[in-house]
Amino acid sequence: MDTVLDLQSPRARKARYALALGKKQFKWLLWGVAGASLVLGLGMLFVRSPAGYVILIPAALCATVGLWFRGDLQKLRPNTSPLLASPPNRVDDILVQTVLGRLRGSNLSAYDVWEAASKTNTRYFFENRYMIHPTFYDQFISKDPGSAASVWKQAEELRQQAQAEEYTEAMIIVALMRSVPDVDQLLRRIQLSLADIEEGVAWAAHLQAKRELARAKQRFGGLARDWAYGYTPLLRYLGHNISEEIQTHGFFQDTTVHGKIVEQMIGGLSSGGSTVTLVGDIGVGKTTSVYAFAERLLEDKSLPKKILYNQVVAMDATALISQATRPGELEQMVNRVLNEAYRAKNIILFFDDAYAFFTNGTGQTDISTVLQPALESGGVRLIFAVTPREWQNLASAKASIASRLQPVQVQPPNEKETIHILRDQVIFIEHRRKALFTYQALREAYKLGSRYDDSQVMPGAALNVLSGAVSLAPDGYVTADIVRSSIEASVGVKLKSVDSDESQTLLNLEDELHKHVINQKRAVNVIANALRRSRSGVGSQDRPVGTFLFLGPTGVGKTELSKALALTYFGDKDALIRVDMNQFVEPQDVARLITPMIGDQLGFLGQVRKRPFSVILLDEIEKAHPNVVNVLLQVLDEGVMRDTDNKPVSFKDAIIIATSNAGADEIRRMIEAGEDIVANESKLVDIIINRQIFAPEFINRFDEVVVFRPLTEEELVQVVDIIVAGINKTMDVQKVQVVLSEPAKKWLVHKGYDSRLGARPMRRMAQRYVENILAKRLLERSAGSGSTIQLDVPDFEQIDGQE
Amino acid sequence: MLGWWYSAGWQWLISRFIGNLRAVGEIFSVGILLKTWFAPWKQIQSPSSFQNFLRNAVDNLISRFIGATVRTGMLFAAFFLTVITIVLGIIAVVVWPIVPLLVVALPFLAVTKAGL
Repeated sequence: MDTVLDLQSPRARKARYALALGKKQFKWLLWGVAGASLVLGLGMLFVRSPAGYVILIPAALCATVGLWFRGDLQKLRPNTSPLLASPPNRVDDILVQTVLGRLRGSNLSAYDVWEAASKTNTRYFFENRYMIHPTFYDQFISKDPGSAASVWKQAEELRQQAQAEEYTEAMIIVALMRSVPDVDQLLRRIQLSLADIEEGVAWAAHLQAKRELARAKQRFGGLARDWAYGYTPLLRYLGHNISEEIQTHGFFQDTTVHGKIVEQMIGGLSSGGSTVTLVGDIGVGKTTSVYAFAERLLEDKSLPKKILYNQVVAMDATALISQATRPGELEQMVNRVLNEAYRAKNIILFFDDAYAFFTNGTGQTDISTVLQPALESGGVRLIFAVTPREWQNLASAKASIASRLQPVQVQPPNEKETIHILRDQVIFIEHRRKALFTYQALREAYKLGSRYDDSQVMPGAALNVLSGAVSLAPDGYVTADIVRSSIEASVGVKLKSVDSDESQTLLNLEDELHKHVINQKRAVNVIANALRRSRSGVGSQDRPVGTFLFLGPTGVGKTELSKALALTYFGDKDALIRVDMNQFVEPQDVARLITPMIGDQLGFLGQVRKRPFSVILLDEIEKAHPNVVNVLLQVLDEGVMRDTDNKPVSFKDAIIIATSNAGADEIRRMIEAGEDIVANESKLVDIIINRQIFAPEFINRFDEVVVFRPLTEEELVQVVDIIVAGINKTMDVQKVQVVLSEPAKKWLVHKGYDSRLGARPMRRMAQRYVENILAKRLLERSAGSGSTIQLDVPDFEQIDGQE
Repeated sequence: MLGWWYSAGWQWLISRFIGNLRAVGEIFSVGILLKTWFAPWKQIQSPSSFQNFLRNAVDNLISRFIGATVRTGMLFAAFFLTVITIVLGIIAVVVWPIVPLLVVALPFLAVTKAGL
């Protein structure tokens, strides 16, 4: 392609005329002048005045110009012949008229091209959908004379990629961006790549095609189409005519994704068969496939006569069941529906959630005996929709019926296909909710929908996320950030970039944790590092935030650290999901572990699903049965566990902490021998593996194995401080404070010290001595609001004496 | 403008004329009407049985008669509209080359008629 542009060529001139004549004001002027001239001229001729001929001249002129505009100028065809085989020589031959007509001057710069393109609607498409502000072009596009040549070169590449006839407005805008040096780096700032922008060419063309389709007069068979087919009053009352809906409101979905499914449906229903069963998970697009199928029946005149113009009527199984008030009424109703469809001859019945008709249960009634004759005779064409699990149940419980239901598998689309579907579907949400979605929002909805919405698969999950996000966008403009906020609000995870408050919390996390946990620096450090990695986006997004195995004797702060983490970073102590693994000692306990609901209570997976952003504490992991431990391996590796319904539960936003007393004796022995525990951590792990307490593959799956060393008596004094601080916090309501003297603290530590139990007895000591004294004094009214109670060793000894 | 008017303009005019004719055929579904001219009206027919053979035959005949009557009426309407479309199309084709010329011809007509 030559990059020569001739703005004096006939096509360029026509493009300029088209712009001038296409203006609304000009059109009104043309109509006004023509109308007035015609009325006045004919009126004068009627009264035999020859001046009427002169007055009619403007009408003739306006008619000529108006028809020229409509027939030639309004849509200038590119000068290509043959189109793609022999590229044209000049830019003006194939440049879209809306840009061509606005170009002026010679030796154009890229910026001149932008000035012309910026007056087209497509500029707003990129501005709104991709958040590319006009200042981007102002700042980065070359103003050098002659630099337009590079734009034409880029546009030609895009044209060839898209196999298009002309340089569209979108191609020109993307070509302008491609002409900017280091554009990839610039786009990265708004979380885009050049490939994303290039997608915009196809998206804009797709929207344009849809607009044209919506404008085109669609005819679906004409007035007499249904005269040879029967009346369907009951179906009108109980069902929903999808074909009629498409005729009235249009559908215009991108059926390329569902194209294969539709082909299979057409094949299944036109070549002898009478039943098709769409098998796919919730949200996969079974209903959309039926809509695409119904649309095809109305539009594709090449289809077999047997199904051309057939009406697809959706029957809601649950609604039908709820309509039946007495026994046997549902069977009668379905029988009448089937008879009506059979007699009408042009009806295809679609049963969504069809499994409700094949089994008994809440909201379900087994009417397979009624459906079976219809299935066997093949007199009525039926489409069923079920989930894969329901299909499996049906195939095993009612093999004879399942053999008549020709299954068509509907698989979830991949990311690219999902984005294509979303592009089409969001138009409807935007129209309904007065909103606008950016490309980045669609991509984020896919990413977060697949991670956090386990109630349905793609594209349903992403659409769900987008619908939810609209309410959080005050002006209806839904960006990726809004989508993240929406998920944060609904799921309780942290997705948005770290703000200054949070970054301070993260940077000072060790200090915060040390307010609750004495010493254990390494444990505190690895936890804080894991959170910093995760929130800064450095850590893997496909695994849990961190997985740790805490080893050490009782009362050294393993559980306390988990609680402290839940409180300081995750916001409240309920963010700790604690599982006592000593309740999972039998092989059959695996089932209990993966059951989301146990009776009315949330099971372990139910709790994680409800609160994915949490600290999960697997206490005393060494006591769990090996089968239970095996189930946990996948969680540590991939951050996903499947529940009893085979639905995934994500652990990717959780910190998993397993604690164990395994090797406690060895730790104590090492301490007594004066060995450095941290330096001998691997030695301890080897001992645990050799004693077959844990398999190596289990230990290896943790990010860190941290050994907690027993606390010294001095450190236990600090524990007493923390406990007393807790008591004071409780007493704050009554404005009473308690203060322990240093000897009193040491006395408590000495009294309760047990090297095997660590800090655990300290709470009991505080309760027995501090809380009891406090309670007595409050009741005796020897202490009241505003008082500070000083406690010393004699106070404690007095208690001992009394006992 | 005149170059287009007397070359590609003709094609445009004729394609619109053909489009209008096709639209009339599609709106009235002439093809379907002809294929189902004598089909029973809205599938209203009695189920065939030996005992009520005569009654059923009469019922079906009535249904087909109603269908044929309505469809014939519709075919007439389609025919009428097609004729109008063709006539208007012919007028348009005839007038088409004259329209630009009117701008020049009308002053002459005025002068001639005024007898100047």
